[in-house]
Amino acid sequence: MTRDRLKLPSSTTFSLGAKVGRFSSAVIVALIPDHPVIVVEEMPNYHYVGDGEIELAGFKSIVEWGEYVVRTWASYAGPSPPCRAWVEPETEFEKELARCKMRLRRNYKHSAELRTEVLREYFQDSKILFTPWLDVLPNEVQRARWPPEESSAYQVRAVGQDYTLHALEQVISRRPMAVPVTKPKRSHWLQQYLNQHRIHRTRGDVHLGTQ
Amino acid sequence: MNRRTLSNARRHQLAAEYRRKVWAKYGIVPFPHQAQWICAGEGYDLLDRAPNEAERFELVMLDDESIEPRALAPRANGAAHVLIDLAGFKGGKSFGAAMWMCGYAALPDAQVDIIGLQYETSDPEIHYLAEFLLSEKGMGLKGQHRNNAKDGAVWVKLDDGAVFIARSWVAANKADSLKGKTRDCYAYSEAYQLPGLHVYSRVAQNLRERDGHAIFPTTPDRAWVKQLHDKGHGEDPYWYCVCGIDASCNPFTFDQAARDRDDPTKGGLMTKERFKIAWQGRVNRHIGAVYDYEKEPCMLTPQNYPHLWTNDARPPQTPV
Repeated sequence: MTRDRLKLPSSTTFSLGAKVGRFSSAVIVALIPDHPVIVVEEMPNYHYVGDGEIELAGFKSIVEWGEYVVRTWASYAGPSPPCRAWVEPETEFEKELARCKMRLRRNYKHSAELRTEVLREYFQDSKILFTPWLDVLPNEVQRARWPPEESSAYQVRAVGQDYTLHALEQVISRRPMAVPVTKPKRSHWLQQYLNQHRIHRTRGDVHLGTQ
Repeated sequence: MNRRTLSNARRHQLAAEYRRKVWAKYGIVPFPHQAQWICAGEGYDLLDRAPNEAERFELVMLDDESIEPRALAPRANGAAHVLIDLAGFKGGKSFGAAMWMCGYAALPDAQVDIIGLQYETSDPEIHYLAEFLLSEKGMGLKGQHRNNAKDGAVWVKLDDGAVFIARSWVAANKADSLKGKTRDCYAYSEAYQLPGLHVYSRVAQNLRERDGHAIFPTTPDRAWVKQLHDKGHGEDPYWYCVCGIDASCNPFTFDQAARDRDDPTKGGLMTKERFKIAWQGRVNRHIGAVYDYEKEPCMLTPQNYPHLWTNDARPPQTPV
């Protein structure tokens, strides 16, 4: 089960979430009508090294990472949809990422509690799936814990070095929905001709001078 | 009573008989889950039916305050010695622990340790023991009751010798003062607060001489409690677990309005996992985990969505 064996239908749309900073990550989710949300790609700029610690890997700068995200996005969504990622409102590096044509959409009004609760709902109701090649994200999801002294009213998970999970929370909190594709009903050739050459007549009361 | 001539079996029998005496004097009728684990510690299974004419039975109080007898049957492989009671808020956990421990008052040399994270944690158990044994309503025995957590002096000592002492795990661990003792029983108060199962394994040898018991009445608030639960439901009859006890089992303290305020399905404050633990006493393997994630069900595979994979990725179809 590898990426080249995944066959997404033409009705698939995509959405992107990101966490931008010294450690950055992005996730692409595929939205197919009547299917759960499928997380198809994760793009962290770090990797794990023993004991749950992370270190930067592979990218010399944030711009280089942004270019990688844009290329990966284009490989899934095609060249036309712009690469726009949902991020937290305080995100920096907007100008740097704009240079590589990665736009940031700030996730206002979606607090940390809301993001956590929405993603919890998706897992509890089985509305989300992971592709088998995801490596970092499943581990971060499994390791996510409540802080030792949680408030029952405000459920904010303990934040650790889980930037890929943060990116997923950003995009899922928007409750992305697949756009249903409706094909236009094909009409008879004569009807199509008449539609194209319709003579427009103004209706009205002839006694008032309209024609 | 000659201490040397008392066998362990006789000690347990005396404790069991005295326990019933204390209950009768104080007017206690156990809830079914309390009776279940106490009887298991005495070598009996509490059955879910009325007794026949010649059968032993135990009276239990139901959640509507009615009392009915339940049949007892001898437990295969004998008494359990590690007893676990996983119940929700105010389910009678500490009360049940005191109901078990009061039986040791019959033994002049009984030594019972109540281990909590701090001295204050064992307040309820010590308080109930003092009520059962020293008060006029209880047995009216002669003894002392000290409750000075700051000085580490929290105990009930009977004049005829039995001692019930509260220990702080934090303090005892530093001094390593729990080892090398002889004990009849360890009662772990709010066991979930303790760091892990090693709180028992490190002192289990102290129970060997008197074939003692360890009891764990707690809410299943930490992941390591699942270890207790698994052992209690495993094949080793030495361990016994009663779990999933809803808070509604205790008619004296149950408050439906308070439950509704916490019930997430009714807009309450708790998460589903927290509600299951706190009100329903259920062990949740996702204790502490934020997301209800399991690898297999959450994976997109050719088995669950074959139309999203190319033909060569799909599993071969078995011919009809």
